[in-house]
Amino acid sequence: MNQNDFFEPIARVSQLALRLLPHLTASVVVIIAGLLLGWFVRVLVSRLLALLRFDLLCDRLGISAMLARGGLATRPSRLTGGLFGGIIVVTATLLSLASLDTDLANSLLTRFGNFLPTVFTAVVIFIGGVLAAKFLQRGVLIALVNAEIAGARIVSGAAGIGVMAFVMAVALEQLGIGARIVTTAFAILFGGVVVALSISFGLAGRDMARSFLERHLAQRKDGDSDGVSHL
Amino acid sequence: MTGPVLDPNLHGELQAIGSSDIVVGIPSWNNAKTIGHVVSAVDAGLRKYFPERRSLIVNSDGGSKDGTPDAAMKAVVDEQALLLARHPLHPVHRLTTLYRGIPGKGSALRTIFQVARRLQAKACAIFDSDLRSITPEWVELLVRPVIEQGFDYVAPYYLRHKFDGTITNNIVFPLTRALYGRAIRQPIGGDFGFSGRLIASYLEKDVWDSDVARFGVDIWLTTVAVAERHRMCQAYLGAKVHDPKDPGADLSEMLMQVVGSVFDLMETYERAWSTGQESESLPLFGFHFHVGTEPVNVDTGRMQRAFVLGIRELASVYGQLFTSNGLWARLQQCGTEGAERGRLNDDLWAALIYDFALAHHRRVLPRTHLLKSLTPLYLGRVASFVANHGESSSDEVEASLQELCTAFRRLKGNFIQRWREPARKGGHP
Repeated sequence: MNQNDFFEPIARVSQLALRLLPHLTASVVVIIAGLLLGWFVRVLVSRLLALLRFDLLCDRLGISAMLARGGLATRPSRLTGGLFGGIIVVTATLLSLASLDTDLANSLLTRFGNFLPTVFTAVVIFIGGVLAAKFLQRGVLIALVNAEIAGARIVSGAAGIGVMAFVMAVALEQLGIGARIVTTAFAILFGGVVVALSISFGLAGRDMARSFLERHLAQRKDGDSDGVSHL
Repeated sequence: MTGPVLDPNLHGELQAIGSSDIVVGIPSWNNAKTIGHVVSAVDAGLRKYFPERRSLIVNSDGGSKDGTPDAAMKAVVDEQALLLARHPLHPVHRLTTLYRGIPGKGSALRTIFQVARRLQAKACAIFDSDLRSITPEWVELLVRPVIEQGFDYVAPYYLRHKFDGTITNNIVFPLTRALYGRAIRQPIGGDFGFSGRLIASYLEKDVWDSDVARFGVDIWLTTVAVAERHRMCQAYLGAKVHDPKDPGADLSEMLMQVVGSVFDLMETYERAWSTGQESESLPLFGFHFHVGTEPVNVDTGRMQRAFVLGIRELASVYGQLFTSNGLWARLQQCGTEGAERGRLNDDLWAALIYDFALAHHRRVLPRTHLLKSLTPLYLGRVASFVANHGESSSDEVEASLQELCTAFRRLKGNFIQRWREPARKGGHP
């Protein structure tokens, strides 16, 4: 083993390190700057919105209540500030990756860039789906209770779960995660549940269905079945 | 909004009539059985009490399949039986037209108002087409205060069975009175008198594509008149007997439109009600007499079951909207013990309605969900009311409604305070 064999790898690594060092430094600086800027923007936007009575506006528009219902018990001004800050931090992270200028970083960045619209669409589908499922579930619950049908919570819960399952299948398909398996599994599950319910209700609940329909039609025929003229 | 709603075929007829001092409108939809009587009574009333005035009866129909417009046009008046003191100087014109817009009474009234304005009417009265107890005197009572006393709005004052008009008695009357400080006993009575000035004001509003176009129109007419400080009075009409409402009409839909209209109007007229007026009674015209009312057989069992089911199944919904201290806990207790034992009392009911108004204002839930979730609680209140007043006379029930109004008035100050506060985070009981 000669001297060159020993020093050559060290020299190569040193050269690589020296070549990467400015990029690495720049990357760290960008991240730190991004974090600082993100924090500053978060605070600035939050305070500015609070001063402009943005929270009151959101209260009036029902946005605060909607956020609370979704488990986000934060004031809308702080949430919006956090969102802006987060965007700055994510952007800084991407910039810091780009500043490394390595094949791996560039490849990651390209893939991330290509994947971003898909993720965004999936997130939008998911959020929209959650809201739709909740709306439908509550609507079914109230309608069934007003129709004086027992077990309204179970039926409305099933309706909500059904919508959520559908939304999850669509969102996962959008992300390309086991697209075929998810779609097929959903179709089998949904079809299976519908067939099982139809058969079980048809076989076991014929009399119940008949009696319900008879009662319902009789009520409509008699008008206000409680005998009161409400208006 | 004053957009064109009149049928083009109507223009020629209106041109031939030229002008009219009094326009009486009768909205209808499949009322062939009763509209003849209503038109005859109105025609007789116009001939007998306003012989020197030019007058017109307008039937605004929603596309009836049972020949309602024909029945309206062919209704006869026996002049000899009227014992007229003076022969009419002008004929009483009649016309019938199909209204345009959302199917409902509001759209029908819009057409009538358009006709009244076109003919420069000094007074306009409207009557429901399902009335069985209308007499010619009703026309005089609703029109004369406008023509001769300068009133802009005349509300009906009926004698009704103690359990008739439960939405009126338990929600609309006490709430309107507490908010706007005017004791209008039948704010959604259905038969009213208006001045030409007030009609012009109604037509200027951009509401005709909302719930106002349907069940919400009566409370809208009243609230606009009261909130905009028009001159108002009431006319004693005696008993109100009418055909049963459309059996297919869904209670929760009806409740949503009426109560939703009241809540919407609270947003529009916040300044008018939030200044805390004292309650003021209105002049009451007409000779007060007692008549028997048709008996009403009430099935409280069904209402009671609906209430208990609602409290049990809708806990997740109610938990979000009640913000008064301890209200939800007290309602749950009622759900366990049963509303008909009189637990859903005046204070509890008034607090509940105010909490619904607040939740509507803050948009705690989607509007339809919020308003439709009131149905089981309303049925619980009616069951409770019926149980408490099973043996009471009509006068005793009236007195108890005054107590309900007092409960609404007592809680109004706190309600105004909460209305002005920003929404509390998760402020549930």
